[in-house]
Amino acid sequence: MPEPKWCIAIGACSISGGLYLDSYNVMQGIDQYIPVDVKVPGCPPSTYAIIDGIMLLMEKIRNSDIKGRYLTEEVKR
Amino acid sequence: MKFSEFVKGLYHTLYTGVSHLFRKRMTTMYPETQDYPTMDMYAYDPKAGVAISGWRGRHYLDMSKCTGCQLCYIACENIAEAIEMIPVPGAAHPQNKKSIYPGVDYGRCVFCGFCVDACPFYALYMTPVAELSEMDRNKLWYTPLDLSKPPPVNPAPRVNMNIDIKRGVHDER
Repeated sequence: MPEPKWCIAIGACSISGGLYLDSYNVMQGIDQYIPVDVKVPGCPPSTYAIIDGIMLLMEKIRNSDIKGRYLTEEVKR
Repeated sequence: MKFSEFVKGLYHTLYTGVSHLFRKRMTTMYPETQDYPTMDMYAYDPKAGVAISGWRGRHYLDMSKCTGCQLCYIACENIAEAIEMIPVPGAAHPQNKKSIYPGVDYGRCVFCGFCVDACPFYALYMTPVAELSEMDRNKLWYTPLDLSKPPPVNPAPRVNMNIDIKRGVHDER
């Protein structure tokens, strides 16, 4: 997937494993493997929580420097 | 088709269409208007023996009622394991001799409300506040002092969206 991209973890299972925390085929949180920008708790999250999470991501995008995040050191020179 | 049936149908259609103009709209403009204060808190009613229905969101902990009996921790133990008893040294309440209070990990909590039902002293409630999303995983840990804050009376949106009616959401950079 081309840059820029962001990731939202929606629900308890994607944040920490949720109810299936000790199961052998469930990871304890997706943020151990891929970078997650915003985490929306709930099982399932209410509509308000999802809207709030997307607004929080919009704020993060607005305050972040997209060029500086994705350009490598060689390109910056 | 008779002519009278045609007129009847036409009148019925127009009446239905026009009557919808004067109805109250069910849509809420969410980030601007937040209706927390009108919503009920999820709590346990001791007289009826059942839970009072309400929105199940963030917990509210009444620290002057909590005795540290750990029943909420036991109720959560085999479900989500989100509640952990945390010692709060500064809190001086006479009924809580060990001075331990429940803290909730909202990364694991599934908002089932069993901890509210289990509390024999009615110290735990669930507020309608659902805006708990964070960028950092560690901020989803709520200490007893965080839980004891009441829900906001006049909540404002956490993010200023800068919505222009003509241009929509835009970014001035």
